[in-house]
Amino acid sequence: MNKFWPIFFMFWPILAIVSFVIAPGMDWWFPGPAMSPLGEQIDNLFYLILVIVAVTFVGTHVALGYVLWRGVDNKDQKAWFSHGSHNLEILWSIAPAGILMFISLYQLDVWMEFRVKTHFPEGTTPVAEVTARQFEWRIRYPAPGKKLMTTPQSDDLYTVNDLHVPFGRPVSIRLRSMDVQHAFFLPELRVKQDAVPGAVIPVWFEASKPGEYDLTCAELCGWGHYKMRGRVFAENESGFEQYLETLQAEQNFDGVTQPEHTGAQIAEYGIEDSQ
Amino acid sequence: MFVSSPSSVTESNDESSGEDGADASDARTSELADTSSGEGESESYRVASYDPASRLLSVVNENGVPAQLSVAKGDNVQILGPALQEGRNLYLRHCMHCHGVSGDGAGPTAQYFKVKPRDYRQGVVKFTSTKANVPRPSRDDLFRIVKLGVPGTYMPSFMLLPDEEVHAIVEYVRWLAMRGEMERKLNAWLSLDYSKEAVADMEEPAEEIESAFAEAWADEASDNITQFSEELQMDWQEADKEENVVVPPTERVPPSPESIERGRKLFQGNKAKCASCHGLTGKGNGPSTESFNDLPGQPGVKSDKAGLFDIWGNIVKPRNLTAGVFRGGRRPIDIYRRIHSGIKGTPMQAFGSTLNKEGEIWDVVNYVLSIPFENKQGGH
Ligand code: HEC
Ligand code: HEC
Ligand SMILES: [Cu+2]
Repeated sequence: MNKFWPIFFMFWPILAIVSFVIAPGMDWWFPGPAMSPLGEQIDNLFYLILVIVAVTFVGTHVALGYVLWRGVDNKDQKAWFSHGSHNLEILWSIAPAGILMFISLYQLDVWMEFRVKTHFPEGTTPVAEVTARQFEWRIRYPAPGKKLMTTPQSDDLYTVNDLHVPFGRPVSIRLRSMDVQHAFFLPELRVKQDAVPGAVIPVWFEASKPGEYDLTCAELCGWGHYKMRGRVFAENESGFEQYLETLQAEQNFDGVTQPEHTGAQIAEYGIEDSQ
Repeated sequence: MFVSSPSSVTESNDESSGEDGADASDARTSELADTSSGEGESESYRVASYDPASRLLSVVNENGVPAQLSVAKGDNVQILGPALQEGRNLYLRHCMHCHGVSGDGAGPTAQYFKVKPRDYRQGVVKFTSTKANVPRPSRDDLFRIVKLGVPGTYMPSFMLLPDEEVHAIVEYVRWLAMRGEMERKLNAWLSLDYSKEAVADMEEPAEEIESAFAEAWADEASDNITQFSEELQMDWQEADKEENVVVPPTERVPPSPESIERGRKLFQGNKAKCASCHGLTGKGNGPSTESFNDLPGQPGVKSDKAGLFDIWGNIVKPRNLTAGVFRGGRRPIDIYRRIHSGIKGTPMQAFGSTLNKEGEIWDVVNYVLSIPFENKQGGH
């Protein structure tokens, strides 16, 4: 019974290590590997912090367990009483402060690249305006070959919940909210940005591979929060252009001249294209 | 009653072979089986028995007499019970909290919206591709609404639900609408002699009233129910007929400044009187919004609130067209159909016969689509 506490304290670091080791295999880890270059850097930062935290956590617990374990049977030796040691206080104030300082400086590049417009990668093109509302994502593209303007244009193209982008180069969206706060979250691309009513927030990302990525709302925005399921569809340049052209044809449909596309066909169009 | 899509002609259909279809169709004997050949003609029967394991299906005709199913290779036989059941499950998950369990548009979250969720029970929806004299939406109309949502209202888009699921939901919405209509028809019939007031006025003892009612029911109910369901069947089948879709006689007149100007004149002029509701500049503030009108369904009874009413009893504002948000879709054909057939269930009536000169509707469409960009630098 008197070994309870040392065992108790040793149990947690062991549990932590075991769960880290088995987590990826159990699918308790990230939603797949990062599908964007910046996402990889973000993952690396995550791993760096994970290692620092893990070493600290395991280290302190092992030390604590060791001390307690020895203390259980040690009836002769008097304990060393460290309370009030000036040097020790300084040491464990400065060491964590230093580590935090290191982390904050080390991640600055990634943070700036993601958040600060002047540090966006060169050639980032705005492809669409995405307006979050309860409970969907309304999307506005410029007409093929045109630039995205800040105000709606007569030839803009509209769709909902289905954001198509070209892959392999940085693109940006203008993120807005029509009502309350939402968050534009692309888990596979490691992008998460709040949409704030009244603000237009540029968000850039680059899908490294073509495919279909989840778009979800990551800010509890009301009872229908879970309904805000969308997707980002990354495809090659010509596929993306073709998509816009299909959307344009659909949007100009006058019931006579072109074959009718339904919204559903638009959603499916991209899927066929990627395969 | 149900027409299966002629384009999906298969020898046998998953719905009749799938496992989950099995118990569902066992449980019911009154389901409908449907055959359709490549030409788009279809017949329906009632299912007498169906064994999913052997795929043995026997049908009866409307009078309950065993019938011979005439199917050829390539025909599509649909057994609709399982699709409706799936539709109901999906409806309960995705739609019920707004549109209500019975489709009355009064689900638990409906109270929070200014524009109320649709009450399906009159069988009317606003944004249809069907002609003005066709009172029901087509399956395609409902499919489109569910996929794209109704922008500018809380009706969300279900774009990413798989098509089959949306088709199943659409069947169930149609079923709810038909059920609502059937109940309304029965109600109207019974209210002729047995409305609350009429019963209160009767002098006979309650038992006599009850037995007279039971007799009347026994005599007439069966015929009436048959007649009502035939009416329902006809209305809903009409809506799915290709010839009842509004297709403009000519392609869109190019949206030149001249066409837009002609459209503006028509919009503001006395022929169409769009401005009486939508206002001279399309802001949705025309004089009708300030007049006192009859309550819906009660001609001669003036409302004590100013404004226009829809058939569901809500005040409905003519759209502010300067906002550029089109609930029924922003394609030229959508606006064309809104003008040609009106917006069903609302005071905006059909203009197909008023604006009957060649290209007139297109001119108005071009004007309407240009309103959000008036007084602004266009393009580029
Ligand atoms: C958040 C609430 C909400 C949810 C969820 C919702 N709807 Fe609606 N729905 C509405 C509102 C509000 C309208 C009315 C729009 C209008 O009058 O312009 C509407 C209208 C409709 C209409 C009629 C459109 C017309 O042309 O008149 C149909 C059909 C419909 N909804 C079907 C569905 C189906 C099917 C689902 C589930 C897949 C669903 N709705 C989920 C709120 C909702
Ligand atoms: C009696 C009044 C009235 C008249 C006259 C009228 N409208 Fe409307 N209009 C309405 C109402 C009410 C609505 C909103 C219906 C709804 O969605 O609830 C509407 C909606 C619209 C819409 C929006 C459709 C959408 O998809 O959002 C357009 C476009 C429109 N009207 C054009 C016209 C044109 C063009 C005319 C003349 C040819 C016209 N209206 C005449 C009452 C009227
Ligand atoms: Cu949200």
